[in-house]
Amino acid sequence: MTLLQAQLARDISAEGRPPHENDPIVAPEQTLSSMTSQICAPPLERTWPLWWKLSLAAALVFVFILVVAIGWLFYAGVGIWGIDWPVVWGFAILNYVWWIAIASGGTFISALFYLAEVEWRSALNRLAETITIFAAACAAIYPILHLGRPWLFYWLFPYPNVMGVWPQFRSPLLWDFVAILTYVVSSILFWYYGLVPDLATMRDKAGAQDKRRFYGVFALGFRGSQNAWRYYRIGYGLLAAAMAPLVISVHSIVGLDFAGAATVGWHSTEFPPFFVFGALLSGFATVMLLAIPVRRLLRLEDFITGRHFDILGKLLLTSSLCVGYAYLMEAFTVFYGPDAAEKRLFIDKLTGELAPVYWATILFNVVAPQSMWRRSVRLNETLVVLISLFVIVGMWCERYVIVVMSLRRTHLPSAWGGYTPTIWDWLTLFGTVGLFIAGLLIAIRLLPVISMFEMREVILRNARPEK
Amino acid sequence: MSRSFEAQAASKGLTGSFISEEASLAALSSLNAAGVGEVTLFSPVPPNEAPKPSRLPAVALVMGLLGAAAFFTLQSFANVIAYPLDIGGRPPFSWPSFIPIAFEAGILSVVLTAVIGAGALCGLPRYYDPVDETPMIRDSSIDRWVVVVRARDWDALARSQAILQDCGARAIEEAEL
Repeated sequence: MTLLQAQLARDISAEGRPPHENDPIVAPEQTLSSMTSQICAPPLERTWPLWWKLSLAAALVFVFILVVAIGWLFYAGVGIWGIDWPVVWGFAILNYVWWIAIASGGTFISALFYLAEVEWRSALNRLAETITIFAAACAAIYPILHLGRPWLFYWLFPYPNVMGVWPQFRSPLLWDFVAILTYVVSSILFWYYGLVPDLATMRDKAGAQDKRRFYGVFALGFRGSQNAWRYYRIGYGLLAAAMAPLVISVHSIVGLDFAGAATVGWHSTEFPPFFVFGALLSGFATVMLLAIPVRRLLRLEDFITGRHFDILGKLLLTSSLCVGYAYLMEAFTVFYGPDAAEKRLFIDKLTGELAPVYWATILFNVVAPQSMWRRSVRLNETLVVLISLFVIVGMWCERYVIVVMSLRRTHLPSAWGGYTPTIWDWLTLFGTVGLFIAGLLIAIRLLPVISMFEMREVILRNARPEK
Repeated sequence: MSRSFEAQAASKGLTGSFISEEASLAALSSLNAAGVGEVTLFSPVPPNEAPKPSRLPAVALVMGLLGAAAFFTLQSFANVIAYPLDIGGRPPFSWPSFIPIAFEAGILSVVLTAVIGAGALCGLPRYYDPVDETPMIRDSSIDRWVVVVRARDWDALARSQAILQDCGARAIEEAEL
């Protein structure tokens, strides 16, 4: 029966259909049963296609590189990186900020748009939340590695100890530690909580005993009685209401990591909202970038439609305009203010030896996304992939400008310096990209990539337009 | 139907599956009105109803405030009494700098309360329920609304079956519950 249903579901979905502007939020042919069969089919299959195996193998190579890079770091110390006075924050902090911003997309889509009761989020929230937890995990690695003596990281916890010392709670860096910890724990719980009804479906859909056990254990015995749903919904609403301010606070605190220091180029009240805008931009770009291959490879054309691309494109454009506004205000406050060192730094950014990085930031984050004003661009998969990639690279360049360019040019010209990343810096960066992709690939292999219980609501609502 | 009434002397359970929420809710209210016993509805989607009031949000708010207050107190104790540090000449009790961590701790408390509280109220974890053994129940997490009746007596069981049929159940099965 299940095989037949799966076959039917495949036939219904038009494979390889490009996004179109008149697409509905979900293909009208889809029923509760066909949708469930289609979403459950990939994780329940015994063997997976070659593309999955090859990409996982490639990602695992990078994970191995990451392990080697971290192992060598633990043995030899942070001297293997390019950091030195005055540029003491190099790739580790830059990549940390980059990753944590990428992580934000899932929380914005899942929590903020849940509170706004928008229908389109149901097709994307599972994928976006999965992006969140793996990107946040990649981010969380870096500050620990950056500590120099990473095995003492637990000193950041406030706990009574024989030394009689306590953490210094006035430091934004400690706020950041607590914020990231809260964010990682809450994101994993939110993701898992949203998965429970779908795991129950997987348990009931799976034929083989081992798979039923696997999904059954994680489904915790969820059955979907009226009473259970009632409390489940209340819990979900509460989580969304807590996650939405959390993600804003996390990125504000990341901004304060910089703004709290009296460093040229950092000491600005603009930083907390600036970092939230940057997080929005890279979060939406990453969701868009990954939604395209997932939609194609797992044949989700019926659920992730042209409508979703249209909305995500508009969101990307909006957040790009916000970021552009922040760049303008950054320039304005520097030249409106009295600090000569700030002005000197800004002119160095515009015309100095690293000016290409600054202009790449502007080009990739502000200029390129302007093409999203056109609907034909928002619906063109190739262009969307290209622009999302531009934004992700552009956001990395932005962090390079903030972290490296500012530290190179201190108040005292006699203390100026330079920064050249070493091979270990690059290997660690590529290693975390591998870790992220490997995590995503394993997640889509084991779990339903679309939130089925929410998609059922969308299907029912669209089948009965009068409601 | 797998087994007949006569053959199944020990069983007083009945399951009926529906293809729409409206029909299942109609059956549910008729069964409740007839007073046949304990009636439960299992559905693949959250019921399309206005949320009923619950104390969970209030509890989560209180826990959030407690978590925030606890961490604010901890920071004040640590940096004012236990291990005072002069940071840029700030006063020992520089409370604004204790707010971000207190806020994060409050959020974490809300999240933990929501997950643990809602999970417990949903009855999780629950690894065995006699209803799991019924053949029909697995459809309730896919595309069917399944009404489960734990009838009080044989008469109630017979009446339940009639009601389920009247309400348009697609399948009716007896079960040991």
